[in-house]
Amino acid sequence: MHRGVLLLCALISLAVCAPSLKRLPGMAPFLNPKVRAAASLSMKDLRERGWWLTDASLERITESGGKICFSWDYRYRSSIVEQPSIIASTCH
Amino acid sequence: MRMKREEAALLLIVAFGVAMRCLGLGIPDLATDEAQYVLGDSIGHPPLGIAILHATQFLGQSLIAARAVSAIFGILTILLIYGLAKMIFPKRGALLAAALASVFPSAILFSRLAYLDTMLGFFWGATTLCFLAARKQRHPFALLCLFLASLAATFIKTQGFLLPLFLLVGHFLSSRGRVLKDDIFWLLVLSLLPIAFFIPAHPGILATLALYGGNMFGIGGFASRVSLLLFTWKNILGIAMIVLLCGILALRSVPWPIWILLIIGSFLSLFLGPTHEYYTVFLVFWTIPAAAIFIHFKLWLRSLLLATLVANAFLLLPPSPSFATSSAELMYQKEGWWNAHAATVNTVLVNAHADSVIVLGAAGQELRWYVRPEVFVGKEMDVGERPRIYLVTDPKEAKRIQPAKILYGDENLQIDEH
Repeated sequence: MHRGVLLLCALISLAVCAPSLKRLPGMAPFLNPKVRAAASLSMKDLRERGWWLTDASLERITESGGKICFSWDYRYRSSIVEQPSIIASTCH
Repeated sequence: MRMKREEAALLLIVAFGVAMRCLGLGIPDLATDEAQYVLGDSIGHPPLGIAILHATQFLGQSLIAARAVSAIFGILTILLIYGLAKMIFPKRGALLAAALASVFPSAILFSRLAYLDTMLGFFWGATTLCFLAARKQRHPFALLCLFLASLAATFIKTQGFLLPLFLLVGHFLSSRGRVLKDDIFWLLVLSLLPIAFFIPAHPGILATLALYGGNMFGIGGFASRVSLLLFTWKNILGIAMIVLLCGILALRSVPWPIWILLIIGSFLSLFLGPTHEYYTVFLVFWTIPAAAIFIHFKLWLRSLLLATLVANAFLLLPPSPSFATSSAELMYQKEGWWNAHAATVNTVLVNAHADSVIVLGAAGQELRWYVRPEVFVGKEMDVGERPRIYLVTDPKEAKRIQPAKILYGDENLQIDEH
């Protein structure tokens, strides 16, 4: 076995995995079916604002007062402009 | 002497294929998927391919720069097919495979458009080539290249992991499970780990799967999927369908890793959307087994076949609308509507002092490429009360904002002030 190559590839693999590993705990609430149901309603809220869903990045999922809240960072991008980000929350 | 002349002719065909990939990049409008990738905005795929396409815009908005990425990967794929074929056939057979690939219509078409599939096809081919090279001779460089090509393939498009995964399974089976001390096995595992974590960490990918699951994705209506798939292939390839037929007959002449490349590349769309033309780019790898049959044809027949395939490519995908006949792909028959009218539309919007617009009707991502003010998607907005400028892409939607003053109108778009 080429241990040097394996070690180098393991390090690269770990480095590429790191950002996802950091994000994973924040996505754990999606294991709950109630959160998944609330997520599709939240997407509808974003569409009602006329937002492009591809420009909305999910920042946090929290629970408050029996409601599930999603925090979004919306940043409109086109070939000409990149608008400042808008932080929005949708609760269901 | 005759052989040298034939090799020179094959090289000329390759040069023609290279030119065909570099011309006509600016004719069709940017499609919605292309715009999404070039704007660096897709939640449905891993980031590498999108980042490469988006990076082309650092020097300014350029349709040709974005599509040139595909052209470059398309040209590199010809070299790759030569390399793959060279591992199986003598030089002339490999050159024939490269020449067939050069004039393969779907490969030319998607080398001219900013989709992710030409890039993915390249990295799938590179993974297969490095896999074959690493199995033949376990040189550290081949092993490192295998890891990097496989890792890149998994991060170009979500389905990119399929080829390395099936190579891994195939390698496990062909080694009869004795893989604990096998570099190739562990390198493939290491290359697949990042995407295994990336997918659950980015819910947009699974949400996209859930959105299309059951109708577009899946195996429902299998017979109709097969007929749609064949129809799509025939439409794009024309006479080049003969390459697929001959490739199937010569399948036994190529090793199993190439079978995996061919099977995944050909039948992926059967499950993910048989009418999605961009999956046809992977069919170019059928030129490898097809070359095994064509090389045994008499020279006059081989020449006639190649000349027909060159003409087929030119007629289907003319480099400019001035060469287009009625058999040409529609998007190459005339300049795209947005490419021709974006400046006029933006002048109307500037004169109307619009700093944002609402779209009524189909709102493709390409609007964010062509329209200067901020674009809102009107489909689910409560638009009646808003005094704004509207881009009406579906005339039936105009009644939502009556009365309105029409600032611009033609068969494709109306600009209304309400």
